[in-house]
Amino acid sequence: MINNVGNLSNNIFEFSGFEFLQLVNLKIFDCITYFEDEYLLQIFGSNDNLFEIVEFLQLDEVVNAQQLLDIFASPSIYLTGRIDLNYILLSNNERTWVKVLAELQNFSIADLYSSSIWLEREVWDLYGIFFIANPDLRRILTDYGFEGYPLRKDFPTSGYYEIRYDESKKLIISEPVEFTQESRVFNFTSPWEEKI
Amino acid sequence: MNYAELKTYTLNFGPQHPAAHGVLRLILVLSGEVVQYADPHIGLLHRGTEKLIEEKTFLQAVPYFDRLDYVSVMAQEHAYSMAVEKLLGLKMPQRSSYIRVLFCEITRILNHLLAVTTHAPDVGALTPFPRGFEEREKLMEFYERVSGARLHANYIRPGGVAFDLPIGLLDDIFNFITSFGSRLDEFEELLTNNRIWKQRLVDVGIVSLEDAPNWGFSGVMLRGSGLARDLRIDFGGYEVYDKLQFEIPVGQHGDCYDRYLIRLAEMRQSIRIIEQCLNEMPDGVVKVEDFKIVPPSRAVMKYSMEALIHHFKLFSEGFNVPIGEVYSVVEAPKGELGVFSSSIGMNKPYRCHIKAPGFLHLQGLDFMVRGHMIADVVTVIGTQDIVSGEIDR
Repeated sequence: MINNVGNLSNNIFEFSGFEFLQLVNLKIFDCITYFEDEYLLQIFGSNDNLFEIVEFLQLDEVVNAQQLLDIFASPSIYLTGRIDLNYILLSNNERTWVKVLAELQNFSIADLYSSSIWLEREVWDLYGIFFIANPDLRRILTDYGFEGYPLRKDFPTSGYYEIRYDESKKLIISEPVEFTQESRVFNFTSPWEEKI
Repeated sequence: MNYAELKTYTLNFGPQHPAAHGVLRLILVLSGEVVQYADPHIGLLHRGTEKLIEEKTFLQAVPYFDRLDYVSVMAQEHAYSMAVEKLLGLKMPQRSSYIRVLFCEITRILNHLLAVTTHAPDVGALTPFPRGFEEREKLMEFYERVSGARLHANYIRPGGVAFDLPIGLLDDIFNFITSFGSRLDEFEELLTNNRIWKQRLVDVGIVSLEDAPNWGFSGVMLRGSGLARDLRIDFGGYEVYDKLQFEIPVGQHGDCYDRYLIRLAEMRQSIRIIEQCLNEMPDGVVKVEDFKIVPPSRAVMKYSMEALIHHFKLFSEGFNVPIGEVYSVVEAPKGELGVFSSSIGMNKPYRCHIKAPGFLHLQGLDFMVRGHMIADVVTVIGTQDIVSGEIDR
């Protein structure tokens, strides 16, 4: 499935169709993998170089990523507690997936792709990852006046405040959450079973 | 100073509006009747789908995807099932692939019927609405026969398809598609050459060939501008689309009229694909033959101990998925639907992100309606095929 894995620190790699990368100052990438049968190019990079990476993918003739399709944050599956920022780009030849570690402040790619404006707004709203130079960074999915970043792992699924209409005050008020029934947790994995 | 030029009027195209598909709050800044700036406020239907999925097992998460774009139901289930299957490393049996393609094309017809016949009343043509919905009723009857539910089917699951097709269903689908072509002709007769329809739709909401990729458009919005990109054939396709023959209609001008014509043409191509699926439907199993992932049939469960144990473990704990992350895309009727799924080896998705095509289309509403009038805003919302369920999740 994996065609060739390139490790830039050693500078030993050769991709079928990607020899052009040897010409570029490759210090901006950390690792590139090309999945041939899925036409997926996966790039790991560092947050400082993200703008250069995406700009290179857009301007280069072979990759020519014309569309930015998705930006999303995902907590690292290696349980380090860090959050990864993922960018999905599309071109005629392949789909590119750029993965960087999210920092406290990240640079927005709104200058390169206009579709990133709302996508970064969503990541900001739900994860609290800030993007400098995004022309319009405000909340997009949560309620007006909502506090907190819902998709973070420390935010409970039930939330902190609930909203209801109070007949006596004739107003919508928000109070701390009260549940009559506990939410069902499906944790039936037996303790002696090995995790894969 | 000329104060008259600076005067603008801000109008709230409120969340409750028959033409704002679902709940959509649009702040329009107008100068007279001409729109200067449109600011969509979304999130009024935000149900916290991604957060809730993190609490459920992989099988229990499938109904969340039904409810995302509640108009084209099985396309989202398909995207999610493909993501989980990639994580598990499964290969689908042929019959299940053909059934999935068959129902994805039925879903495409369902979606485009709704898109066209709700766009028409927004613009002013009230007749196609009940006619189109009668056709949708017939298609929902197929959904019900195969899965048990008319709308939220929960049918395409990781590992294959929930149940095998009942006897007689394929004959009824064949009878439907032989007459559906004439139904489409009736819609065309009402709308396509209609002077009023053309005046409302031609040259409204033009998306140029440079703008469409820049704003992340996909699906019909992209093909309307002239870019022939369809995930069913690009990159080798998925499921059995590479074995089927069909055409991709592509527009030229990038206006609403082109997109309307593309949707009608896509419905006709879907009929063609359905017919090929009916002819080529192979025999065999409809689920992967691994009872650690897919439940055994209920009849066997009643007398076999192993089947009972598998059934119990699968519906209480669920199956464990190896550590990994995957991003799978599907050509949903509205555009490109992406599902990101990651797993840390447990029975629950660690993170599930859904990229809805309508999200990026709605973002482009601003540049599409500048300089048009309020009535054109309604036309553009209709042509973008906005459904609040998938945008807000």
